[in-house]
Amino acid sequence: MAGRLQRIVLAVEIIDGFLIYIALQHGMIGVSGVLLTVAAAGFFLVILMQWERKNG
Amino acid sequence: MADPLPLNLATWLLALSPVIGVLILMVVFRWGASQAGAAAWFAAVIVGVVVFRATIPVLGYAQTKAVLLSLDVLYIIWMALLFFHVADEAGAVAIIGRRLPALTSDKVMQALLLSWVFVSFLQGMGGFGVPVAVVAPLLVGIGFSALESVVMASLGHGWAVTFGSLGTSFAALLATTGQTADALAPESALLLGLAAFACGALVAYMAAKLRGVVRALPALLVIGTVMAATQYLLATNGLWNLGATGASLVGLGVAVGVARLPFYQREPASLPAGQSDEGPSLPIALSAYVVLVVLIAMINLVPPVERLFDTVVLSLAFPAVETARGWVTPAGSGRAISLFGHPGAILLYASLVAYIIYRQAGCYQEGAVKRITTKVLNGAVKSSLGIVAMVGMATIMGHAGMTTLIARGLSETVGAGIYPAAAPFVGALGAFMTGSNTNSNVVFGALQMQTAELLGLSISLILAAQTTGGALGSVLAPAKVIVGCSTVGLAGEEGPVIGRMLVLGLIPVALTAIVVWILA
Repeated sequence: MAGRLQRIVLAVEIIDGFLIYIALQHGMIGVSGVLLTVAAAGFFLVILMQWERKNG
Repeated sequence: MADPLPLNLATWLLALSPVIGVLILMVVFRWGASQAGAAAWFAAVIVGVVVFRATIPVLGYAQTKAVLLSLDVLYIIWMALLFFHVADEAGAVAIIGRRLPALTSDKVMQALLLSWVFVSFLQGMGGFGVPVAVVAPLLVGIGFSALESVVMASLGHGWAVTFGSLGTSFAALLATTGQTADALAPESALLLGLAAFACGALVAYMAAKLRGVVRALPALLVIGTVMAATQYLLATNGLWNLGATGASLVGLGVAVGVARLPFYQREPASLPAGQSDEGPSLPIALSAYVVLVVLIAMINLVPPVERLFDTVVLSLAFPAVETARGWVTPAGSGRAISLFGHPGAILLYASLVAYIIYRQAGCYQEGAVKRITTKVLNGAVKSSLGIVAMVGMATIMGHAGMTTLIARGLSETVGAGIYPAAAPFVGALGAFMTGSNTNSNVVFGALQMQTAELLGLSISLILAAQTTGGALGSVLAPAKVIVGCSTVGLAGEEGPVIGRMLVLGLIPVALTAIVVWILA
């Protein structure tokens, strides 16, 4: 489960990085802000997984 | 309006906080690289926005650059793992490891063959903690204690880490500093080549104390010179991906000859007790590595072939961005990735050819493809997320002006006279904490470069010191030691192993520091 989630987060981070670039190239600062939040959410999930593993 | 942040202890520590965070989370709290990297990414974003006033475009472009840089490194890591498991599943790694110690009855020479030359060859092809996991049990099999085995296998391959794993760590250094391979390869290969002698001497010392070093001297000089020179020649002639692989492959050939010298043949040599000779023949086992070497050489050295494979390149142009404090990151193109000519792509071709060879030779048992896929996926994802997060942290720090502030602080307090000697220890510390030369180069590469610039030191020399220190420090990392210990029944007793390793492992780092200080 954790491995699958990590794979999904990895894919999201990579795709999200390119979407941020497209949004910024088109001057869509707000959209890129949202996409940065998506990247943050992915990393937050990774930290949560660590927390769950340590604390059951 | 420009409002630059003043340099004082508080701002310096704030700028450094993401790096300190990674180190504390990994060492004190034993978090994995991906989790610690993710937390450090948050720290970089928060400090970047609140203190250094990074804007959304600054963070956004930094994140895109981080993804590009990560892909450049991950392409190699994923495919190197695939290549290793294709060979390992066929029994190729095991057969090479079993045949080598049977060449000589001399204990010291056996130790050198396995835990200096063969372990470095494994590092060249795969890395990621695998070399120690494969070699340590083989050393136990020929009579060394479990502790000696882990320490020898770990210390013996430090010199091969930067140009090993198909040059992943070196690629990361190039990616994060924007330097070219031509600029960094000569001094890096020189320092790592010198470290090769120290690594071999440490293995001999572990095998039979000072008597072992004396006995190993002819082998150390001959094999060490051959490996150091081969690595230097490959790295400085556009084949840095093959630096450690080629060096250890040539080293293996020479070592086989040296091991057969009468000096190292007191008693008739034979296969170690309890080990069978089942598996593919040696030429078949080695065929995958030959295929890889030929493919890399052909694609990198034959201009028409190189042009053909470099026709599809993924590259993005980035505009200049500025923080609200006026820190400007100039415009430029991000990392260019050649989809079909990349070292990762070459590893993929080699994996496919090797798979066909091994399959034709009947080396695979049923379900091999599934086992290979599972091992690659499990191994790759763990390290990949950590790299994406840490590269993200490093690029955000760079774009927010944090890295420059840290470098200014270092340059003003340490000074040009001492810094060259400190640079390898910075690299070693980063690798010890994060468990990887690649991570150390990502976290400290840009910082070391900017500090060198501010101090008027040679950038290539300081970056060579960074990656050499990182390579030698990575083998001491608890994360790798744990893997090695688990394969020889020392799980839960890593403390004494790390203690022993630190005492010996810091010697080559200190020697590197002296050489860098002299050269600076």
